[in-house]
Amino acid sequence: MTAPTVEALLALRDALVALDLPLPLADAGEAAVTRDEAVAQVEDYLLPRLANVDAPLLAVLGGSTGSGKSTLTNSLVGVEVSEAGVLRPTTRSPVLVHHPDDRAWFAGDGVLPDLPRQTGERGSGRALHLVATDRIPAGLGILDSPDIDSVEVANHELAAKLLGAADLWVFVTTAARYADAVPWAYLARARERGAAIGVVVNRIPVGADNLATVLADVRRMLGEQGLADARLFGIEEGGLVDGRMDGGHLQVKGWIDGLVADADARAVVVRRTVQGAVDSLWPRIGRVMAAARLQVEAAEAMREVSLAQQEAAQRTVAEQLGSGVLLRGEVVERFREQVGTAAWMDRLQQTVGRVRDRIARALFGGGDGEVEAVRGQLRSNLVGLVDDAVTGSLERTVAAWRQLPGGDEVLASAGGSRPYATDLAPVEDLVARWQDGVVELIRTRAGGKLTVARGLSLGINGIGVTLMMGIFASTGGLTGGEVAVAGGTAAFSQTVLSAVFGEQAIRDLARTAREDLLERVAALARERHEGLRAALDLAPTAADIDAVEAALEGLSR
Amino acid sequence: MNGLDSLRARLTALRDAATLLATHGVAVEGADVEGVLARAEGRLRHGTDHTVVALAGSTGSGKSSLLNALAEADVARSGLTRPTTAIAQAVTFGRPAEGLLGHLEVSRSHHLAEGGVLDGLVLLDLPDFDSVASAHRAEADRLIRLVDLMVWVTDPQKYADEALHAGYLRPLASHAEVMQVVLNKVDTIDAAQVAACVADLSRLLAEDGLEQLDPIATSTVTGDGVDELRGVLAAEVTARAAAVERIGADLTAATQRVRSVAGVAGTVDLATLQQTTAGGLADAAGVGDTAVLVGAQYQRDAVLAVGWPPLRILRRWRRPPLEARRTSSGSAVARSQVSRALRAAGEQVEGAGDGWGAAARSAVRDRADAVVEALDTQTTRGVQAVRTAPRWWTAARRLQQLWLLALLLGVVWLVGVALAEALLLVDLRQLVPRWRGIAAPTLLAAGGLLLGLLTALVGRWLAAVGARRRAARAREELTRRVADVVATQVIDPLGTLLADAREAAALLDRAEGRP
Repeated sequence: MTAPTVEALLALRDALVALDLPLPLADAGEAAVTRDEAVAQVEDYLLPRLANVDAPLLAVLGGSTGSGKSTLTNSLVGVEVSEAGVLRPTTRSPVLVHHPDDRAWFAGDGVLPDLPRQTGERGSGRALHLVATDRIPAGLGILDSPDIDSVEVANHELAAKLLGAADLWVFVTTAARYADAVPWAYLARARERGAAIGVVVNRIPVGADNLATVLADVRRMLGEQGLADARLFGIEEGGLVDGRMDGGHLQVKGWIDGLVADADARAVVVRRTVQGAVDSLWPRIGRVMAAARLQVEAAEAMREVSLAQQEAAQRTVAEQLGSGVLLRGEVVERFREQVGTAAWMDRLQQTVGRVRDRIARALFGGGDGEVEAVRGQLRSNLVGLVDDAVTGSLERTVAAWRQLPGGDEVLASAGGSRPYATDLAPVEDLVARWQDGVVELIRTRAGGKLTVARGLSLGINGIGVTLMMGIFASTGGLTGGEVAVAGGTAAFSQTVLSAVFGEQAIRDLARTAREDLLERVAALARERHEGLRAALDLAPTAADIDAVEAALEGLSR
Repeated sequence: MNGLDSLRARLTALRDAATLLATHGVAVEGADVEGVLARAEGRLRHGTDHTVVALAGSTGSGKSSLLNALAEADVARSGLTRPTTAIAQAVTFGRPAEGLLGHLEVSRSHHLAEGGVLDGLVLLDLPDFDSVASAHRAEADRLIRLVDLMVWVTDPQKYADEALHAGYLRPLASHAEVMQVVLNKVDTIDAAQVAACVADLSRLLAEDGLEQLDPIATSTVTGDGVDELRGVLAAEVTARAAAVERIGADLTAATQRVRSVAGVAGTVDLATLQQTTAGGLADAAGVGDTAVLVGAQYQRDAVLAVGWPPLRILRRWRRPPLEARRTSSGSAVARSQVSRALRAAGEQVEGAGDGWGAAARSAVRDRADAVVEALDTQTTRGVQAVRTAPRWWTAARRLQQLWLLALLLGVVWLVGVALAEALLLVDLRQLVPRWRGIAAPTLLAAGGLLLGLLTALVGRWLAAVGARRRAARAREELTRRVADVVATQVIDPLGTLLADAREAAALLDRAEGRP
C-alpha cells in the first residue's frame, strides 16, 4: 500500500475547498456535496488515520430513523448509553462510546476534529457525546449516528459526515425498510469508499422462515448493488430486556470484537478502509472536477458572448460612421448654406481676400454660431449613436446570458435586471474629448495652413467640424468613388478641406480622427462589459481545476 | 349541481387566462395548466357518483393489509419481503366503475358487489414511493395526480421520513381538504406510545402546513381505527364532493402558480408615455428640421413660379432644399434615437413584475424596426401632403408671361424702328404712336420690365409669408403623424397588452373561485 503523504492530502483539501460550484447547473448541487464529503473525509478520517495507524477503530452505527440504532448501541455496549424511543427522529447529539484507555484519542482531535465534544448530560446538536466504559474492549469506539432519512435534514448531513470517518460501517435497517431508496444510496457510497460494511436487518417479524426469507432477499439486493462481501445480520422483532436485546445482537458484537481483538484482521480493515477512501477520491473528485469544468465552460460561454457584443458595439459605430448619414441631411444642408457658400464665394473672389471675410459675415450672420450649432448637433448625435450601440450590446449580452445555463444566477448575483452602467455622462465626455482632440489634431498637423483656413473664415472650429463631417462620410479614406457614394456631405467637406490642406493631408487627418473615435468607443465598451463580466468572477476558473488535478496527482507520488 | 357548475366555470376561466398569456408569449413554467385541465376533463367525464380514494404510502407501512381490512376480504397481496405492490390495484365497492378505471388506467381490479356504506367507492392500493424500485414511484405519482382523495398510510417507524414529508405532504399542503393521514401498525407500540406518536405526527403535519389534518391510528392486526377510517371514507362517498374538491384544489394551486409566474403588468400612464415617446421620436424623425426645409422648398418653388422669368434660370441651378431629406432616411442617427426613445419608454414599464412585465417591455422595445420604417413613410407622406402648389402661382406666372411679352414686344418694336431708320433711312418717328410724349414701344418695354420686377417683388414677399405658414403646417402635420406612429406602433399594442393582463388577472381570480 502506498499511503499518500499528509502534505499531499492537505494540498488536496485546500485545492478542493477553493473550488466553488456556484452555478446551479446539472450535477452542481450533487458535486458540491461530493466535494464537501471528500474534504470532510480527508479531515475526519484520512489525516487522523494516517497520523496514527494504530489508533482505535471507529465503528459507526448508521441507518434509518426508527430502525433501532440506539437499541443496538445499548445492546452492544451492555448499558443504556443512548435512549431509544418511539418518537422520530430519536437520536439527538451522536453518542460515541469508547474504553477509558482510549479517552485521549477520542476526546482530543484524533477523529472528527471539528466536532465539539461533551460529556455528562446529553444535549442536542452536532457535539459528540462521549461515554467512557470498560464494557467494550480497548481500541474501539462505537458511534451511534443520527438517522439518514428523517425530516431533520441536519441529521442526514451529520450522519454522512460521521460515516465518512468510520473504519467500520454498521448499517442498521428493518424488515419494513430494507427496500427504501435512501439507505441504498448511502450503501452505494460506502461501497465506493471501500469501507468494511456490516448490514443489520432489525425487527424481523417472529415467524417460521421469516429471518431466512428476509435475509435472503437482502442478500440478493446486496449482490445486485455490488456489496456481496458485506456482513449481514438479522435480528427478530421484540425480545427486549431492559431496553436491550436479549441475544440478537451477539453476532454483531462478535464480529466487531473479533476485528478489534485480532491484530491482523484489524490491520486488514484499517488498510482496506484507508486504501478504499484514497481510491474513492479519484472518481469522486473526478465528478467534482467534471462539474467544475461545466461551470468554467458556462462562464466562458457567457464571457464570449460579452466579448463578442463588446466588439459588435465598436463595429456598429464604425459601420454607422461609414454609412455617411451620421448627420441628418437637413443639418448638413444648413451647414452647407453657411460655410459652403463662404468657400464658394472665396474662389470667385480670390482677389478680394480679407475684405470678403467681413462681407461674408455681414451677409451670412456669423459663421461661428452656425459652426457651433453643427458641432453641438454632431455631439448629441454621436452621443446617441455611441450610447445606443454600447447599451444595446449590453442588453443583448444580458438577454443571451439568460438563455445560457447559469445565466440567471450570475445576473441575480450581479444585482437585478440591469447589472451594468448606463449613465450618459461618460459618453458625453467621450464625444467632447474626441471633438477637442480633432481640433487639437488640426492645430498641430496643419501648421502654417491654418492661416489659409482663417482666410476662408472657417476658423479652426469650422475646419474641425468640417473634418468630422468628412469622417462620418468615409468608409476608409477619402477616395473619390466612396465620397460620391457617401453623398453630398463628403463631397462638400472634401472640397473645402482639400482647398485648404491638400488631399493627402486630409486623408491622414480623417483616418487619425476616425481611429481615435473608435478607440474611445472601444474603451468605453470594454469598460462597461468588464463591469458586467465581473459578475462571472464567482464561477471557478480553469486554474482552480488544475490545482485540484495537480493535488490529486500529488497523492500517488 | 352547483358545485360542479362553478368548478366548470373556474376551469374555463383558467383555460381562457392561459390562452391570453400564451398570446403575449408569457411563459408559465411549472404550472402544468394543460395537465390540470386535461385531468379535470377526464375525471369529470365520469361524473361524481364514484369517489376514488388512494392508499398511498411507503413500502412496508401496510397499505395492502389496510385495503384488505377495509374490503373485509383478502384482495391484495401483503408480503414480508419488500417492496411488495408493484402495480396499483383497485377495489370497487357496489356500483361498477369500468369507465373510471379505464380513465385511471388501472387494470388490476376487484369488484365487491355488496358495497354497504362504501357503495360508490373506488379504493386504490398504490405502489410505494420510497423503495429502490423507481418504477413504483412513477406509478404512484401518476395516480396521486388522478385520484379524488389521498389517504397517506405511514407507521411508527416511518412517520418522520423525509421522503413522505418533503416529497409529498409539504408540496400538497394546498390539498389538505382531500387528504387523510393514517398511522398504521400501531399494534407494534403500546397505548401510551400511540398517543405520543400521533401527537408527534400532528406536529410534523403542522410543520408541513397541514395542521387541519387529524391522523387516524389504525392496526390491521387488532382492527383498531379501521372502522373510524371506514366512517371517514363512507362520509366522503355519501357527500360525493371529493372529486370536485380535488380538482378545485388542483385548480387553485395551478392558478396561484400561474399568478406568481406571470406577475402583474403594473399600471403605466399611457398618456404620459405617448407624450414623452412622441417627443423622442419627433427628434428622431427630424420634424423641426424637415419643417424648415419644407418652408425653404416652398419659398424656392414660389420664387421659381412667380419670379421674373430671366432670373429664374439662375435659381434653377441651386439644389432644392428638400433633397437634403433624402440623405437622412434610414440614418444611423435616426435609428439610434428611435432605439433610445423606446428604451426609455420601456423603462417606464420597468416597475411591472415577471412575465407580464417582460412581455410589456419587449412589446415596446422590440418595435424599433417597425417604428423606424413607419416614421420614414409617415414623414415622407407628411411632406407630400403639405407640398401643394397654391393657385395664385398660376395667376402670377401668367402675369409674368404677359409682362415679358410686353417687354419683348416693346424691344422688338424699338429695334425694328431703329433698324428701319438706320438702314432704310426712313424717318418713322411720326408714325410711332405716343402717349404723353413717350413712344409706345418704349412704354411697352419699360412697363413690361417694371411690372415684371414689381410682380416678382410682391411674389417674393408673398412667398416668404407663405413659406413661414407652410413650415408651421408641416411641423403640425409631421408632429401629428409622429404621434400617430407612436399610438399605433407603441401605445396601442401596449394598451392591448395591459388590458389583456388585467383580463387575465380577473380570469385567474375567477379560476381561483373568487367572485
